[in-house]
Amino acid sequence: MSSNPFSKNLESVSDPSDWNTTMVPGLRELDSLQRCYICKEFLKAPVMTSCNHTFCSQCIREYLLSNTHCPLCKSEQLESNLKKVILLEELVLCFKKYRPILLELLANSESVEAGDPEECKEMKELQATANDSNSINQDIIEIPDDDVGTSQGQPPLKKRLTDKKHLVDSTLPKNDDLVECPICSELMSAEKLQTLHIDQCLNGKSNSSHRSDSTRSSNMSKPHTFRRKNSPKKTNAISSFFRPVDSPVSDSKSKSAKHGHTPSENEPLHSNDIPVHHLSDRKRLPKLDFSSLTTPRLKDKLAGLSLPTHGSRLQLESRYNQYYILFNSNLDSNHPLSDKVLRHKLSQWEHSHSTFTNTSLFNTKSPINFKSITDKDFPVKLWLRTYKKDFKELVEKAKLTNKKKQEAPESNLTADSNKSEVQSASENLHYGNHDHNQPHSAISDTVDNMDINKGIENSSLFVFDDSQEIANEE
Amino acid sequence: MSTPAKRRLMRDFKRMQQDAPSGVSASPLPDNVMSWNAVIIGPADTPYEDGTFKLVLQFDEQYPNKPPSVKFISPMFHPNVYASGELCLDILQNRWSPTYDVSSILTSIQSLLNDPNISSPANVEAANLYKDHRSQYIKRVRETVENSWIEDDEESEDDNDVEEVNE
Repeated sequence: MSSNPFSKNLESVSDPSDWNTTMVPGLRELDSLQRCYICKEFLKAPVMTSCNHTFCSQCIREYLLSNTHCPLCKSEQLESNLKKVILLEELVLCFKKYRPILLELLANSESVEAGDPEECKEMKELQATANDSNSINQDIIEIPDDDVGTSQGQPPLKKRLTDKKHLVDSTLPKNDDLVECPICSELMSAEKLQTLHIDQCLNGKSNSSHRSDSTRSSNMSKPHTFRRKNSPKKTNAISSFFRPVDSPVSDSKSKSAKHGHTPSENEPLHSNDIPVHHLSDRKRLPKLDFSSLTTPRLKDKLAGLSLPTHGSRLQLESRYNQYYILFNSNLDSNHPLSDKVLRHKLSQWEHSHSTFTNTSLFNTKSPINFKSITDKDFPVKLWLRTYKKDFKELVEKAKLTNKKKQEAPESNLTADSNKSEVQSASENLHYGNHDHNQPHSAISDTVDNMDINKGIENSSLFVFDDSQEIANEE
Repeated sequence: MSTPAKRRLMRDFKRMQQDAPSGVSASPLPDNVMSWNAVIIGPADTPYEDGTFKLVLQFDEQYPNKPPSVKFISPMFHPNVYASGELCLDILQNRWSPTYDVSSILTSIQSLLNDPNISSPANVEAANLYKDHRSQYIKRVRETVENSWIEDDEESEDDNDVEEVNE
């Protein structure tokens, strides 16, 4: 819907569907799993409920301020039972960091607008054929540069794809095509890790033995340069998450010898990677029972937190509650913000919140003046006429998807031999299907799974390409 | 200014653009992301088949912690839709969850069309016909469906009027 001015801003909104047009569309699943069910953004300071559902700390705390059950499963929940999930926060941060690079690297030659899934399908088939012949460059040729423009700041597509190797070499930190052995932390290719090294390492072979092995790969000819030294930041380390949480072998000679910085057993997880602001001494703010609190005392409380004390009683209460949420969710982050930043966030929130502003919901520019669509005098006719064009587009769009659905099923079902139950189940979960759910569209699942399967195909081909390259270099 | 509700609505919009469920569409007003127009196509193999039903959704800054107000602005004949076009749908009231988005709201309404809850009817006549005189109910629904098309046609005829309102 090109006419809607908001469409232009959508580029900056990341969405699992961004992966649909990459060579590994299945990554949408990984993307979607790392998002909060409430705000749909990547999890920030994730916490887990006692029913094992995960949300941004701020989202769920805000929700539990006026509710007493889990938004997903409706089981009873207490805010005090929320537990932070340290590793998940780091995983999400890491994924977020590499996401743009991955999107760029995996960019498919097709850049099909969302509205043309048919064309998209054709292109995917083309793509599959191209990949079959094992030539990444081949699949670029047909596509004019003009079709690109799906993400900001990207170089023209041809350039991007021809530069692909270059990108791998230069944009990524060198170590990142290597993975780290979970036992001895040495870096090597995934293939080598799986086929040779891990067994040796588990059997307690010495460092020297896998070092000599590692020289088989040209990448590893100088193993010591790949060893992770003191890494104060968590930057170059997708692989660092392969490191065991508390490895039973962590005492082994190999590990302590190799690590310049060996975490002692009592140190928190990834202590060498995460800037730890010691906030453990900081207590959470208490929930206030406003009914038993006089206004002067409430003002004292606010002043004690260096918060403004002006405004109506309702505003004071909202201010305290919002700060309470900001403050307590901040404690759930591995990278907490200072109180000053929190107060700034609070003031931003006040500027936009209806309790503090009298601005009507509706822009004065709107041709129609009304308070709410639920008003008795809501001008339906005028509305329909004013937004005639918008509705016309919407009708066309809805008809299009409706038609697609009816036409699609047969062929897709046959192609769908590898239907992944896990995939569709988690997809359902994430996209908030609910008690009232319509029988979840089997067809859209099917399409998703096709994508996933194709993704797997493509990615394995991609890996194969890589290993060939390594072989050539040798 | 960007607020959590607005950011979430932009996200919902992106999802509607890229992954719209079949037979529904929605977009925010050109000048206000808190207010949306939407269209639901009556599901196949139901009396509502091929109807083009228009709705408005109105969100506030509490979204997604509070549900939006939703109403049909196409005439509707359904046990759970009031004469005003407003809906009686649990997930838009007491069973609302902040995990829902525009897409799931619209698919829920879509599935409500052929699966009315007649224990608490908003339109008693529709509920009674649905229970006791199904063929008459279907006839009334088909009339509604045809009206939804007429509405489309009428709108495209009086272009001039509309332009004036738009300016």
